[in-house]
Amino acid sequence: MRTLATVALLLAALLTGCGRFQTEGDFFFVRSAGADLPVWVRGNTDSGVFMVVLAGGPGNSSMSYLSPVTESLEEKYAVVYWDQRATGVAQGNPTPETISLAQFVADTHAVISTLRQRHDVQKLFLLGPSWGGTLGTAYLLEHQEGVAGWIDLDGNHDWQKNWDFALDYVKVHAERKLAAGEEVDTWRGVPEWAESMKGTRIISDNLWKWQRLCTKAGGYFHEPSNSPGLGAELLLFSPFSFGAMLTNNGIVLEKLLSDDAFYDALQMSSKLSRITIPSLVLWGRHDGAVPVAMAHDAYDNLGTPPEHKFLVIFEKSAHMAPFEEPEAFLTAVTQFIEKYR
Amino acid sequence: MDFQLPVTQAGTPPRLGPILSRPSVRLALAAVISVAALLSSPARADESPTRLPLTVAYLGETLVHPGLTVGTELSLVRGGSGAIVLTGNLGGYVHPRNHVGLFASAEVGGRLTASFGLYGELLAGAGYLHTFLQGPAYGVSPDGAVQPAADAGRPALMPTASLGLGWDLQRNGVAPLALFTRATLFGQFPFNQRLLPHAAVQLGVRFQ
Repeated sequence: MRTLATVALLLAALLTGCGRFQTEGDFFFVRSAGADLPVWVRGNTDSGVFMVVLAGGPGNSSMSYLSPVTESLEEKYAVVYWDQRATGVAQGNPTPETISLAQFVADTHAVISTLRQRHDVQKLFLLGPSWGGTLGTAYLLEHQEGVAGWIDLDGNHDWQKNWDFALDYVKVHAERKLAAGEEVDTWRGVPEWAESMKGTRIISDNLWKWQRLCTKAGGYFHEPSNSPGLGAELLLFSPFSFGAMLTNNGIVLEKLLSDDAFYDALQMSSKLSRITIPSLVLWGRHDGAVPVAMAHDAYDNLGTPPEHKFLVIFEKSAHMAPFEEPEAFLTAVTQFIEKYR
Repeated sequence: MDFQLPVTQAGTPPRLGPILSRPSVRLALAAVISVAALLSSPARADESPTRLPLTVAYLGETLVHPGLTVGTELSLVRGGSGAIVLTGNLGGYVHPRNHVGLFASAEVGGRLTASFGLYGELLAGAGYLHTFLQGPAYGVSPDGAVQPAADAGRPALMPTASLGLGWDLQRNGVAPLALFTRATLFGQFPFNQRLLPHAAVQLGVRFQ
């Protein structure tokens, strides 16, 4: 019995003590309107420069963004990873009514307020990839004060407008494939379907069909081998939970597709002129999820003076430039932060 | 307006008729009685009263998040190589930087034991799971003030299912022990208004 207890204790000590996910940085929760939002602050907090990551999806965990490129950024700055309500590994039991863009903005503000209390935040930057670009835009429309810069990475600031561009992406890809006589069974009828969908409100069946086609067309990863996947460290030795990912994945998307008020709030193109802080617009040339046309829509409509907004297109990337062109991404982000820190 | 509680006369048996008339209940009862009849054998007159065993196991939520479970079990029906057992368990585990779970659960299921002691079992049940955040929590008031948030934890229903393999050392008189491993699936409801699935592995010993 004593031997068994000793082995159990040793095993427990070994398992709880290992892994950077379990030991590094400042980790805490922000409790907001029924949700428990995990926040992980890593890197050089002494710099006073904090970059807050707004995870994509909606549904992704910001922890999955930890990569060599963000670790390089952590050498100079603090990087803040946090999971939004009902996404990633966020816990709690928030009511469906709190799954709204307004509450996501309130949560972001609560996280940033707590961050400012726990750390000496001198300059704060927001990084918003994909859905994170939706949330970042919504946040900045209400809270630009105290934000030194906005880094919009393939962000979807207008879901209805983007729907047409995204349909065009699969249509053009299908036409090329059909003209070349390649994968004809897959792409037959797609141009006609895509054209017929333009201007319609997004519903889940159409969105899933488009997503399958976009993935086949390489709209997420220009080079599929660049996908980092979920490593064993993230799955086993981190706060991450595969069960939570399965459970949470889709909650927000289902809600926004069925809630007209939520959906309508996602159309923010005409409001971009109200955002006037320094902005860096980063996009993958081959992005099919949020095509590069949206980069120009963002850049052109932002109210930021031209000398303080920048557009960088990554020529070998689709939707995931930090994984496809990490050096170029790192250079662009570092130059921007150094200019406005 | 006053409400009166219904009064039951002393000695009046509970009225089971309406419950037993439900097809699902009758079907479940028929299944239990059938299995019991198949497994049961006449008890020996010299059989001594069975002592409740103690079960202690390492519980690894997703294998590596450590925990412990202790419990006992009762043989509801025993016969030949088979038995129907009822288990009762108390336990907990730590998912670092995610949550701490404490639970009480009960499972019922079947166990088949070979003559040399190897056994397999299939159990299912339910329990109560209480989870606490594994880390400091903060709340932000409407005026923007940030304060530590008290965490009384969150209650959850915990359905469970386990598939086990064990070695009953008592069967051949080696020791009054059984060693076992179980693959367990348990749920946490509600979690974001849904059921959160957990997987766990148990490695344990039963003192018989």
